Amino acid sequence: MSLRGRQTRQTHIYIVVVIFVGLILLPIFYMFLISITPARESWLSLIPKNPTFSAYFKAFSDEKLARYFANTWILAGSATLISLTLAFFGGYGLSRFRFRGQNMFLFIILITQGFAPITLSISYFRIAKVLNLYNTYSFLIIIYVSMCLPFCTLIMRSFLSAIPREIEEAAMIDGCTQIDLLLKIVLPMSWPGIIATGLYAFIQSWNQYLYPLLFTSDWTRAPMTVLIAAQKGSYVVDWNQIMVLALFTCLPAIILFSIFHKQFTHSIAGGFK
Amino acid sequence: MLKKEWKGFLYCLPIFLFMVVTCFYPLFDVFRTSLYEESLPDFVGIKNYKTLFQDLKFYSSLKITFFFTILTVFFQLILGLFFASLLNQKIKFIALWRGLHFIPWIVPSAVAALIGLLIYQPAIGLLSKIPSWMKVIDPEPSWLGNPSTALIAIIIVGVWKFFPFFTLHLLAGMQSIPGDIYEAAALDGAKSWQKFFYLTIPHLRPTILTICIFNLIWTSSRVFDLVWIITEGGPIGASRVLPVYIYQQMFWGDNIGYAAAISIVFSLILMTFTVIYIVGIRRSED
Repeated sequence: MSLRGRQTRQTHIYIVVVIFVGLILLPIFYMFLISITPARESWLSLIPKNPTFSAYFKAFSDEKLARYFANTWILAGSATLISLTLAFFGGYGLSRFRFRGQNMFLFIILITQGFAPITLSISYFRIAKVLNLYNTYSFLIIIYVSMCLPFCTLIMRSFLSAIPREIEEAAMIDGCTQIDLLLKIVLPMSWPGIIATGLYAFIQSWNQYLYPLLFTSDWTRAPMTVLIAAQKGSYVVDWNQIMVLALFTCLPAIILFSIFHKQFTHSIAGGFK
Repeated sequence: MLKKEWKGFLYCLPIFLFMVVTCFYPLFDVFRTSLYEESLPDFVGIKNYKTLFQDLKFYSSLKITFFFTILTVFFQLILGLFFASLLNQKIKFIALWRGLHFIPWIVPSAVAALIGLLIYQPAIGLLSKIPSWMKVIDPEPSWLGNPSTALIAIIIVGVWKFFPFFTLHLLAGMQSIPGDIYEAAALDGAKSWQKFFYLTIPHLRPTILTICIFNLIWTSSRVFDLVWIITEGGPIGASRVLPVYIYQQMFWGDNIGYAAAISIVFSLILMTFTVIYIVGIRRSED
């Protein structure tokens, strides 16, 4: 093919890619479009005649919204930190040592992925009642961690396996203690894995709906997902308000993803091997 | 050697204990709950299960869950294959486009459900605006109010949200295919679609199987968010998948033991597939 022909073909492919990716993102654009559409009347036409950010101002002035937003950060952030810690140790153990029951361990971890959240909730209710942990951060955080941990461990394992052992062996010969070895040598070298695992855990926890729906009862503990889902039940539905909330709910995850996306895509593909 | 074994064991112990406490004990607890009836203090054994096997709503929920899961995963695969081929090009900023197409996966299910709810609204939703000037479809279709279309509406949202997962893995698989076999095929006169069906897909078969089974499990166990927010089980139970049915029994039924029994049966089905999946992965690793 001539150079000109190849360039034309490249352009054609490029246009096709842009169109289809654009189509996929159409609902996101729509979400933004509705958020700047003024109240009910204008929803009958596709493009708002008087776009306004009034819904945004109204949202910003609501203190409860700030609390919901903060709750989501607290829940997702804590779950991520705990998952990272546990997964780091577990991944290290799995990648460095070969011990009896290793496969059984993996089997047990992975099979929990098949436990439906709704099933476990029946028991969680009883536990929450007995331990008086209903509507608390810690109860939810622990549940969040249980949802992320299996994959986080797999991801950390695959990243840690890539770190050569010679460095560790050299350090051990130099008289390095196990703890120092872990913290000062392995940890700095495993940043890509930590970022990938952290991203996965964070997004999984941020997106939780059923668990917080069941185990929080008011704005002091509930995250954004519960808030926006509750909007649809109200008698008068202000879609532009809802879409502002929805945007708020998506944005942190999308921003984090765009900064770290390379590590992230590595992690999902890698966690499966 | 034994000391080294112990070290590995110790590193994994926290995770093991954590999962036992947060997943295995509760599952056992749910099983125990299923053996009791809420109002009666005594052990009733398998009475809840007997009721279950005669419950028409259970069977309809099972059927709906089955159709939902199969159709969703199927279309996720199709869409995933399409986008993987599309994004498997060396054009400028391809990393950007690959990243962008991943956004549906990152968006919370709750948000996806709400956008879907809005789009499907009669009169004000996006979907209702298109037919009005195409005049092909009934001008005011109520996708969510119609039992025959409600489930499909949710499937579309589910496919949209999770297909990037497929694209990611299929793309990785496609990139590991050596380019020479395509050249050899081109020399033999193979056209593009032939190359795709006879070279690409067979190469991707293990990946396709793995992610399909995985997603079958994932979708059926985590479908609650989407269905509950969009239709709460659908007009007259048209979209009542098992997790929704369990939820309804938990809160509006009079017997938590019954909800537990449904959950256990559901878990058994899921676990069968999970074991198949894990064994399959182990087999492919060897």
